[in-house]
Amino acid sequence: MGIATLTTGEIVGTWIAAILTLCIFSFLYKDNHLYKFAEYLFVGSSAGYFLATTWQTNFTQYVFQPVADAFTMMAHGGMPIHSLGGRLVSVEPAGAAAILAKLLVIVPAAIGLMMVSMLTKNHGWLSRYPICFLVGYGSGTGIVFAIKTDIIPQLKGTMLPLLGVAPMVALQHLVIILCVLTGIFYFFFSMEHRGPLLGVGSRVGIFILMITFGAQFGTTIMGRIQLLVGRMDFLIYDWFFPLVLRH
Amino acid sequence: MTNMDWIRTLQSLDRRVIYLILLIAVIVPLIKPLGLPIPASQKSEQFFKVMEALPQGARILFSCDYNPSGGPELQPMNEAILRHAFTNGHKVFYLGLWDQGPALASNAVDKVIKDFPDKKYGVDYINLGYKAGGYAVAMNMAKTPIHETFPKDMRNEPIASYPIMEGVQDLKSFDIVVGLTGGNNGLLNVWLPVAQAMYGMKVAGGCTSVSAPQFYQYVQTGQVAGILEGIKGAAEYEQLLHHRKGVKNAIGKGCSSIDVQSVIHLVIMFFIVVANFFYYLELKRKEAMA
Repeated sequence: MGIATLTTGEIVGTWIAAILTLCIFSFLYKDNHLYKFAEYLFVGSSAGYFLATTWQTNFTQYVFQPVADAFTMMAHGGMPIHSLGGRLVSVEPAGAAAILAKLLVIVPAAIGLMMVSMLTKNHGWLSRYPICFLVGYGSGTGIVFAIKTDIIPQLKGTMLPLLGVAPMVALQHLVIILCVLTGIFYFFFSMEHRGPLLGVGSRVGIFILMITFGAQFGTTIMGRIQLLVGRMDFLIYDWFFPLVLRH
Repeated sequence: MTNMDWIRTLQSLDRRVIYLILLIAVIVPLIKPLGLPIPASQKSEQFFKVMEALPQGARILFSCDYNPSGGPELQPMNEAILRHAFTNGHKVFYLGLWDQGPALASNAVDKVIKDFPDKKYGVDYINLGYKAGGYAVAMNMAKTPIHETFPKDMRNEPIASYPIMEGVQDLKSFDIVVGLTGGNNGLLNVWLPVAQAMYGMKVAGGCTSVSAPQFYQYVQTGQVAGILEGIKGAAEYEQLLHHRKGVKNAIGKGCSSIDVQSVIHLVIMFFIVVANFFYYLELKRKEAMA
């Protein structure tokens, strides 16, 4: 992309991004203040962006807006309906129940705000209530999800036919079944790993696990390299060629 | 210098020399691509077929659950999937369970839309924005009308004002959920248990290379209809779009990065072999001295 097609904002933004990227890369030589500055700036701006976005898209919509609507309904005797241009079109009748339903959001908002008490010295115990809700909700949904996505479908996926299928397919199915069983044998600690079944099975299971970890490590390397490639691609084609060399 | 002196020198080599070699190995193929062939794997083919099998005008719920750290691998996928959707005339509904996902989706649209000038915001695609809550968001989308979870889009306009939202009631109104996931709170933890397990919807997507092995068992059981694995998956998908459908400008950052990946992997393998060889020689020397 040539420099002529970039706006001033894009040019400034690209220079800032390139300088900060080089500051981070300077750590490869040795730790220094430029790296620390870039790192802290990244952490701070990420946290600030997250806070602003979450406030705007969640807190405003789910807490402030319903409470504001409730007071509007109390003032107008119902919910005012505005056209897209902002003109008042009608008032939707709303009784006390509807207003109360809007105001009820204060309860979960207050419970959520109790989490902040964790930062205080004497009132940190208040945070246990929202934590209870989170743990209970997380466990409840987590158990159901684990059964529906991990346990039952995966058990079904391991019950594979060995007869009545092509020989290569049967071999693949056998490998899957043996790998799953031997991997599970390794984690069975109620009996000593001895004998032809548990002893041999758990030894094979270790090899299966090591192969899995090796494959996972290999893909991790590919992912990390791609982070480097992405940054170098930006430095070369978005910064150096168009903005430094003016190519 | 004797042979052992050379070996000791190389064993105590400053790691910054290795960084420099890796840097050169990255820069050279980026500037001078090797043009290595990129055959499509079975998984990329499967994802391509899943997208091809969608009916004309299908509604794709496109969840961008990653931040810029996953961008180098997932952004090329985002652009390629969007190109495929636009080519086949599907409607794309972007949203994000990660705060920076919708912004990255917007970047992808800005890049791709230049090749599809007839596609209009609010008619062919929409960005519903970010919503915190993980599977609470997905469950809410499934149980209540969509405008209760997303009353406004990323531009802060009421979603009911857009033609694309006509006929969209809730989560089940979509033909497929495509999730690009950079970690937790995405395809595996949210869309798979809610959309696929609870409501039997088709779920597919892409992931970073780090997370790819976690998805294999779900693809094998058919729970995930198709998966693109990291930058390799992105490159293969770009190739399929280019060769099978002739999509304009389909070849992007995915393909250009794969040459670099191949070179870097060779360099790393060389280092591992050489280091282990020198380690073996050192062991032999110590045994001889003992």
